[in-house]
Amino acid sequence: MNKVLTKQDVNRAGLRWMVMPMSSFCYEAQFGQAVVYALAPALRKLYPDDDDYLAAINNHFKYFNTQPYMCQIVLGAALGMEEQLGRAGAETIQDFKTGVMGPLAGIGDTLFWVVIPTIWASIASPMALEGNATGLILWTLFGIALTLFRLKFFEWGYNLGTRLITELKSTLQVLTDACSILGLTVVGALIPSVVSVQVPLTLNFATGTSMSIQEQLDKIMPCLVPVLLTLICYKLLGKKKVSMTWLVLVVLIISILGSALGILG
Amino acid sequence: MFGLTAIQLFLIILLTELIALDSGGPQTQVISKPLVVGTLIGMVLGDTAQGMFIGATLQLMSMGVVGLGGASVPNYVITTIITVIVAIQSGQGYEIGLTIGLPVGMLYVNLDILHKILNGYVMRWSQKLANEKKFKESISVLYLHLVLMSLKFLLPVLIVLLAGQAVTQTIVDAMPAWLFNGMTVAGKILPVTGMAMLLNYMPVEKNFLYLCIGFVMYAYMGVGTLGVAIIGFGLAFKYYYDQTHQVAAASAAGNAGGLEDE
Repeated sequence: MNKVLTKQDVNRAGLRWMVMPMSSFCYEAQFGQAVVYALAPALRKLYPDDDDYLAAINNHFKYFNTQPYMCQIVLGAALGMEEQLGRAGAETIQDFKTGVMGPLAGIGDTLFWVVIPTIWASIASPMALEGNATGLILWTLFGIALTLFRLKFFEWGYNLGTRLITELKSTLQVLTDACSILGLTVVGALIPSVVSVQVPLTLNFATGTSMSIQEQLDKIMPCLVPVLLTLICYKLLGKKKVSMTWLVLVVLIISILGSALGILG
Repeated sequence: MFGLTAIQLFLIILLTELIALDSGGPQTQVISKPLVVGTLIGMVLGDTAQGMFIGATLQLMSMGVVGLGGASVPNYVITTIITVIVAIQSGQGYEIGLTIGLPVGMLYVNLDILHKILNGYVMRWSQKLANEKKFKESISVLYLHLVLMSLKFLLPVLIVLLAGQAVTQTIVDAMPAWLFNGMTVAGKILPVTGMAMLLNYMPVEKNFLYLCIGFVMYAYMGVGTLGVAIIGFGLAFKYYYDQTHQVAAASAAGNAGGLEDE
């Protein structure tokens, strides 16, 4: 095995990945440009010949997208493969990148974009609403720790290469499922805790008695209105393919109408 | 400019630029979220408590609103910046701020789509230069992405700031009570959209039981979200343990069966 790249070259590529993954996102190649930007100096060192270098660059311009933190591991491994296999490995490298994209996006999105922010927000936000910044500070410290931890991701990928990904892949589905269980348990509690809308409507009868609709609803089930609203939005976003922007607009209109009519408050 | 001092204006623009570079680059989960941004802008404007309150409210609204796989979603961080500025500088509070901030955050979706289309042109340019063997230029062109990303965040904020207090005040004065009340209700319902999006990303049908457990613990038993998270972690760990030890258990069971046969 011929080692051309130094530790600095590898770390530099890892840091360069963090410069523009989302800034350079385009519909055709998604993260393609960010991959080229990250790997370019290292690839230049591996391929002093202009034509080889160009071929490598064009290979990495191709469609690539997985969760950005996971990209660090994949690209680290891809760089390791470039060093070991050279130009002969072009197809292997491309197959490897596209092959791990899906499964790693599954776990990365669930864990880093959904479960972790959901749990922290559900702890820190209610505290902040009461003027307590403890949760906010803890979340920030966690964010810094996570970032420092992530600085190692690229190097791991490079050192362990495809081995790491294969090992990861075997426990991947189980880990994703476990994360979903934690996430869904928390979301179950979040729906009643953050959706605080009620029905302030009171029916007055001729006999002089009155009936609060909210009290009647509470007898059926606590937080019935939030649960029903969540169900409706879930169906609209999922089955009906309504976009988020339209959904927010619809909610605004329903809120305005509902409050004007005294149904929602 | 909403009676902002030069230093306040500078700090707001600096923070917005930092958020743009973080959201486009390392995505550290440190600054680019409504709770932190609201608190920081509040601090700059001299009302940290209100900034934190608005940030927390918008954080809850934005939960689950993540643009996975390149989807464009409303930007609640930009909403937070504008909501806090308008709320504090007009002295009229959160609902008024949200009336301006929320539409801007939603219009951002169009800017985002435009940005991702323009990025395609930058890529073709960069690839063309590479094919002409102008390798240095090919990489330099990519820095345009950072400029576009910064514009995507700075423009909405600057336009609202430039339109300034006069325009905002006109909108606010013209705002009838029903709209004001409607925004208050919207603030209570909007978290639903995030929850619904979260659920669409997760295997709800397969794991419906856990959703029920979390709901019952909070709504019927009054356990706080941290307590629910601990139970959720326990359940997740049990699942993980069972699955990873299944292979070992299965072979052990196979051995036991073998002994009985003898």
